[in-house]
Amino acid sequence: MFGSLFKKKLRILLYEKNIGWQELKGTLSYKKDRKEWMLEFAGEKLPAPKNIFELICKNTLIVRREAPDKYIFLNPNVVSKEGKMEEYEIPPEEIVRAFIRAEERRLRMASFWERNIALIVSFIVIIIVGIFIAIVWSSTGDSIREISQNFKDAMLVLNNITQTQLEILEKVRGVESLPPLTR
Amino acid sequence: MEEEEKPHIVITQEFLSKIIDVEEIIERIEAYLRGAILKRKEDGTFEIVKVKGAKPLMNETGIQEFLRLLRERIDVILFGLSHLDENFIANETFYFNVNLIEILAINSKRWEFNPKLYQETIDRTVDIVIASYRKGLYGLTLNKIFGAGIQQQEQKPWWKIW
Repeated sequence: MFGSLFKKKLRILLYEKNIGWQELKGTLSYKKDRKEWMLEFAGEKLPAPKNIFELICKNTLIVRREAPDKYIFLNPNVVSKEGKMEEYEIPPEEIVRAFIRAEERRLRMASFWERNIALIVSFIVIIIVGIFIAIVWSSTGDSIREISQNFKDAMLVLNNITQTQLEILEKVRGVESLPPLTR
Repeated sequence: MEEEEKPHIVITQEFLSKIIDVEEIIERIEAYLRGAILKRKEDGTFEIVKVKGAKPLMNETGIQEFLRLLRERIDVILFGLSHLDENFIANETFYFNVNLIEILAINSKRWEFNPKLYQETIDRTVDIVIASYRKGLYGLTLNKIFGAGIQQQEQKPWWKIW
């Protein structure tokens, strides 16, 4: 009664040695009586591998036909144009080491400015800030209390100026504002 | 009184091609790939001496493709560049190094490359390219070619960064 509980339509890219790539329509369905996933395409009915959902990428499954009744399911992350799995002779650790060596070589060959620009800029910034602090210190006084007092005075003056400006603005606005429209 | 103009030579393509002995560079790396060494004879020519027990690093296809890559790179130095400086050399060498790492890793199986000599081959090839750049920049073999000291191209002073 429940022959297939779940059905999924797939795009299948099939590679055969003498034909090349073919694009086919396929179906992945779960057979409850057999308790396994079955794959159907191009008149073939195959039991799907256990990791079938890891091999499906963007609703596409890549298959390589080795013999009339023998198929290999390929991982899309490592498949090449010829339908072969890429195999590197060089271990990945060696490749990473080579990249690190390339970066080391680049740093070794970097120019004086390229190597020390951050240090020089930070040094210049520190000197400028130091000079600024020294000027402020000498102009305001020796003790912290005097500095804070001067700062307070300066803020009060600034506040008074702002108040005065506001008052002037009020007056100006009173003069320049148009009388309300009356009918 | 007019100031005397100092003799000044700008590095040209023809000049570069004289300085850099491309064939020697290619032959040296070819000898290395074939498990041999390049020896200089008394008359100035070179001969490839096979090392006993040494096997080629890769098959014939690999050697030819590898040499083509190297030759193209050195040809660019000779005929494609109008300006050379230290910064340019550092950057170009880095990109060449990265490309070489990838090319050698990808083609290692097809070329039947000996993975034990991976780092050594990369280092040696990159060193050769750096040497070509440096030869072009500084003209190390000027005295050998012309038999007299010639003023080099003026270097930018280190304080002129712009």
